[in-house]
Amino acid sequence: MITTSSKLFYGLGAVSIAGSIVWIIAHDGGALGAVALVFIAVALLFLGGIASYVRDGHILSTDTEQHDSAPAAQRGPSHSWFPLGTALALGMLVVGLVTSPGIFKVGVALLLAMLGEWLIQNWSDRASSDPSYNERVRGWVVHPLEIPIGGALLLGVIVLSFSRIFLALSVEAGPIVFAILGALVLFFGSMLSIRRGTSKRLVGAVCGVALLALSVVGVALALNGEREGLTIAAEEDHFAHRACGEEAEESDEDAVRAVSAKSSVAATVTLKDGALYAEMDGYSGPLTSISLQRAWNSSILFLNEDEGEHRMVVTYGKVVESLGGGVERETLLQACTSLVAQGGQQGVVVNIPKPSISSSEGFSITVPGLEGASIEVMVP
Amino acid sequence: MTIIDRPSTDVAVIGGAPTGVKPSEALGVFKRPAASTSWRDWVVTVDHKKLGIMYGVTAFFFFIVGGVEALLIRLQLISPDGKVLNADQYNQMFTMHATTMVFLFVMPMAAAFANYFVPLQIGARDVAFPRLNAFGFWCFLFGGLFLNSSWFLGGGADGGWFMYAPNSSTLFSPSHGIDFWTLGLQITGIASLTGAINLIVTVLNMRAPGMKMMRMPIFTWMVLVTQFLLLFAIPVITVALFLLTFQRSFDATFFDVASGADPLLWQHLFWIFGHPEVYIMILPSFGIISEVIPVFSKKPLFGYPIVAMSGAAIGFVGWGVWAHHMFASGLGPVSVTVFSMATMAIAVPTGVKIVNWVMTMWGGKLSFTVPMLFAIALVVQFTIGGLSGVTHAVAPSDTQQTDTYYIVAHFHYVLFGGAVFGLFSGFYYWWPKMFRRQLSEGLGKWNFWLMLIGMNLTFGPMHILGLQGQPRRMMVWTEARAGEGLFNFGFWNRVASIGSFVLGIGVLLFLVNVIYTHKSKKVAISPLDPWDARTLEWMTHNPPQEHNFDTIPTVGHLDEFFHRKYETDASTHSVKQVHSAEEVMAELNSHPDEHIHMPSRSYWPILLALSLPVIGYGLIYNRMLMAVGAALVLLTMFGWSMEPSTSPDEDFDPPAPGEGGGHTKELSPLG
Amino acid sequence: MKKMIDQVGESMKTAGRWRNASKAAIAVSALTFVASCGRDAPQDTWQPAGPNAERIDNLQRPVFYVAGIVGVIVFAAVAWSMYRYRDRGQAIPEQTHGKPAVEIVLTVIPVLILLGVAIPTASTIFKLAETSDTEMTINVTGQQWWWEYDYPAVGSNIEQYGITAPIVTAGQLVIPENTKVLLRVTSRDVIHSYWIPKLNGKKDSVPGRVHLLRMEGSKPGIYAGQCTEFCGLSHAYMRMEAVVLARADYDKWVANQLEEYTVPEVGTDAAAGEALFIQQCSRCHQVNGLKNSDGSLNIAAPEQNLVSGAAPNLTNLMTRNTFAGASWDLLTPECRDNVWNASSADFGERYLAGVSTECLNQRDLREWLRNAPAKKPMYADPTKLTSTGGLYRGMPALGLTEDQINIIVAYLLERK
Repeated sequence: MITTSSKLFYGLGAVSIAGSIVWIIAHDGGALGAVALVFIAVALLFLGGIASYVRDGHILSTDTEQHDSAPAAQRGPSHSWFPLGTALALGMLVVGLVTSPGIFKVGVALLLAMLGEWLIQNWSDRASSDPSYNERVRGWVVHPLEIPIGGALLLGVIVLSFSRIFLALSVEAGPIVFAILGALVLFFGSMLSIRRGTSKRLVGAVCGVALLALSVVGVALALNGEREGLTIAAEEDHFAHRACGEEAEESDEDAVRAVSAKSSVAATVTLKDGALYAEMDGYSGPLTSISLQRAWNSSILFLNEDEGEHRMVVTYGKVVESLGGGVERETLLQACTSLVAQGGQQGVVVNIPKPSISSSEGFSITVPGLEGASIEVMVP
Repeated sequence: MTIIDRPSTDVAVIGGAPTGVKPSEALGVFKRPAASTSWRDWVVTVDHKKLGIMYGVTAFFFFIVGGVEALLIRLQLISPDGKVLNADQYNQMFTMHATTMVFLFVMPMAAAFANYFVPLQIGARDVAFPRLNAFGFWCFLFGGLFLNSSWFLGGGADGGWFMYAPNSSTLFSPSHGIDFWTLGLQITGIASLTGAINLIVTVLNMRAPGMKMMRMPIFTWMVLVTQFLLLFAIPVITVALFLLTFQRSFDATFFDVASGADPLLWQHLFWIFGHPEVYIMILPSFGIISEVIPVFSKKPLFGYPIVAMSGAAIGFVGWGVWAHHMFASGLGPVSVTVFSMATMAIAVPTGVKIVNWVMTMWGGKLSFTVPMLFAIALVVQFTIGGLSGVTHAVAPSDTQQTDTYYIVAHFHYVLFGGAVFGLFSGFYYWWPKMFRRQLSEGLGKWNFWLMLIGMNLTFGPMHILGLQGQPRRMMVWTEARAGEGLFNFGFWNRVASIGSFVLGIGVLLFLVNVIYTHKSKKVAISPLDPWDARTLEWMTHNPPQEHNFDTIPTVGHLDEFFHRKYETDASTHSVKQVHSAEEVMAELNSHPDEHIHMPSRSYWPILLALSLPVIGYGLIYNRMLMAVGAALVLLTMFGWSMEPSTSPDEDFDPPAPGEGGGHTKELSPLG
Repeated sequence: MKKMIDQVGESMKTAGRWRNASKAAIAVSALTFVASCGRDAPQDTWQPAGPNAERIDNLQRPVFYVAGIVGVIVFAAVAWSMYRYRDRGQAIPEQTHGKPAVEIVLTVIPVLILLGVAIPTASTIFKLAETSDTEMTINVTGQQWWWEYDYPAVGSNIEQYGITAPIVTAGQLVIPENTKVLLRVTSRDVIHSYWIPKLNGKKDSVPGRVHLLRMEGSKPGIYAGQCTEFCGLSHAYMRMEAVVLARADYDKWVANQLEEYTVPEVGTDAAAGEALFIQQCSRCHQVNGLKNSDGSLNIAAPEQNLVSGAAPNLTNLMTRNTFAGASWDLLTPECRDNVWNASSADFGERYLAGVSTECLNQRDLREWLRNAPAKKPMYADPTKLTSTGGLYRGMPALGLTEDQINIIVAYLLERK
């Protein structure tokens, strides 16, 4: 007997067979797809057969005895996302095996979570005959885990997307976007608090859309890469001062950043009109010769009031290493700021281990590229 | 409270209606423990009164520990170049003395009183979150034990209770003492924070009908202010402690100067917590004596709204004075001036309180019972401490006095002469309420006078020592700096050391008094209202049953209990007693409430609190143990949330005969 | 209010009732009296010997008096009400909840008193922070557990005081009389605090920061001080002194500090001591001008041996009269009294005489050289140095023999 659902299966089966024939013709004898389609057809026809046999599970209206005991009269298991999730996890697991261990690990974690959830749902479905009680029982057991973990994941998505967005935006655009986003959140929040009656559905929808948008933009920008400055900085090993010379070997993106600790520093060194001078608490007037304590973490603040970008270099002796065979290598002991634009300032902390008399050249503060700019540093 | 239970097909149906809700059948281990009278009940209890007593006993134990530490310090300093302790031990001793007294005695002892009496004073049956309350206590206990376990595991913390960076880094303090200190305080901090939230919610939401905020007893007011201070202060120290933990355990550089950090960051964080902490310690005692003085003066508190509001004002201004601990640490003159002025400003609301206590006594009918004596001593000694406080609010003067014994004298007058005397006043005042017996007044007077003399002998000379230039925290003092003549360092140090032992004996007498009171056959059971008190907590049995009041009273006045006992003649203003306390209570209880529902006991607070030190030991000794601790925390939190909200039906009385209508009185009153 | 005044008036008539109040008053004034007794304590905060400390003293004295008076009033009120209103079977008093007028008056009075205190406080704070009139600048560096002073050869130090090369010394700060000296206070390790009570209040020395502290002594003499910020194990043994010299004596001191190194005569104990010093002590301790056997300049390397990276400069050890963080005297008690208790006129000469062989406190110096950490706790147990990467936090026990100690002492005696 051709029942309603068996029609669907038979039809699909027929289409599959037709498709396999088309495939063979189109692929010039290529068999693989055709074999797959034939298998599908066989499976569909088999299902169609079963549907016909049980007559779609229908019970005849005359068969009153069946009304209570037939499977269709029983409450089926509740809706479940977990088979879908499990399949997804398995997929990730396999994809991860081939591509990256990260995806594999996420897959394993997801798989365990889904199987656990599935298990608990199965158990709770059988807890009693009352579905709402069953749902509550499930909630008891898994909510203490689900809610915090879910919250953490949600937070993670938000934070991650947010940070990706701001790493990709330019320095100028960042604050503007941030202000706009902040204003939007504030606006939405205050609207909600004023209009108490707003339906949960609407709120949920808005939040959901916002979250989706945030994560989509986040993913897109993450794929696109960080802003140029950061990329360069990463290539140049993140502000590592490899040399204190005139030329910028390293990225000095940070140089304009203002220094907060301006008080109680050991010395403030200013570059102005091509000359360097120092000011120190307790001494009057600009100094071209300063005295710093030995073995002391002296913080020195550099202010560039000259045109162009400059760096301050503190030179405090040299280390001679013996490389064996009478060969020696001299390394200058130096500390320097990165390049500071006009009006900018930056601090360095220098610890000078030896007194000035240990070095024949003496210690100094200089600006690479400017001949006259120099301060003598005395360390007693 | 909802009762979650399995739907059951066999609900007995009589006359077409179910006979009542059948309590839950718990899921396996998640069953809530039932009532019992054995020691087990103390482990699983969530009753605010039992927890209050446990807070008190534990805090008193730590008081003795801290006191022994103090006596060792005084023993070391009795003569020049003391040899009792070596430098390392001495540094640990004063660090742990302060830490123990602040975090493990004064704060939790105040919490003990707050826990026991706030619900009673506002006419509530328990606190808002009973399990959280139990959790707080166990955190305090295990945090304190964890902290003190350092004595047996390589020595206590040795950086001073203020733990200034960079002296607290592993470079300068390589033992594990400071690790125990940070983690121990972190755990007790959880206790303070949960307690604060709990009591705030309780006071704001669970007052008896008619009890407006301005009808609350002043002790409850002060506790409320204290809890708000805690709520905002504890997070600050938590952050600071985390920074320090990361610096010590994970090589962070928050206070590392070579990396460009500023060690003053720690000082700011510590004192933003540390100064409100001072008020956290003193305000509950202010509250206690603001109850005691009116009772024994037979007058209401003078200027009740002003006392309440000045407490709140202290709570606010207290946040703006932290840098007066740092006048010598190199702030600029502008900051120093601002904080100097703010500090003077806070003297005003504090002074107002003193004025109000004196004015309460003025024109009263004073009876000098032991609680009253302690309260009056607080007023006097706190005045001395407050005035010496004003002298170093003057910043230039403070640069001479800070870190000398003058400061030690100042804050011991405030905290011992003030806070601790207030707590002792509370012990004597509320003892009959808690334990049905009144502490012996005779022994109590000995206790009081020895403590008073000891306290002033110990800390009075420290004013002079400080002004003579003896710095604090020094393991020895030397003849070379002692000065000549009779009244030099040597004399005053000796007086202070002798005084400290007098003080120690005084405190010991309190314990003797407790034992005597409860063992001696001569001490009779206290009457219901031994002091002719004024507030709600005296309107129920001694000690109160688990549900506090058979009937929740409706409040029409400040000092409700007094108003029910006495009547004022409208024209002559004369006051005469119209009811005895027993009559008032009998009248109140003539129509007991039905359906009293008390929270059930729980295993989980103690288990969760117990897993926190595991993380602590793990951080110090083995990171794997940390994972075990974290897993335990997760599991116990899981258990906590899974627990049914009531215990199985053993807890419930069968329907009382004759009450009909299927009423179930869901609690068996104790005794 | 009126009732209260009446009550007070009534009490006036029966003067006997004031007994309790007067007892309290006597107690407080006795306390104040006694506080001023120990007049000769070297660190007394009420005996200023320079304009900065005087400024503080002028501010704090009235504050203490006002506080004392307020205290006496409160105690009198408490004592009076305890006496007058004790339970004598009187009727239960009227249940009044307060009198706004009284409350306002009693709030305004403290406000006014505090205003009176606040204004001079603010002006003193700013006066003490003034630095523009500085005449001499000295760097003061704290480390566990001693103070280093270095007199930089910069600016007015050269022009006015002839400090043509940096002078580095420890323990005792030497400053000229009536000169506005500015200390640049900092630290090499943990936070310390510099405090010479008779010259000025204290100022913390914080690593990485420079804090300014004015010093001025108006009378030649020696003024004691003590580190007042808890700084670890030997905090109690971190002391210091400020020595104020008349200008002429100060010039002599500077000249002596800048003198060339004198090589010990060949064959003496001191010469043997020099060799041993180079071998043992100069790992950390600098002696300016000391030359190694190969003729090169000897430069100490404390940064390789000590957490703080510094050890006291011993070039002119015997011109100071204390050592090891000013914790022990280099002078015998009699010689010490001779210097410390000298009159202002004699002080300079006696101080500049330094430590002679007869006056040397052999006992403490030798104990120190034998086993320094036994004398002053210094965290010098070699088994516990893992957290510091093998660096010491003070002088370790060097294991010198008595003969070695003899020659080192002989060598050190010439360091002046």
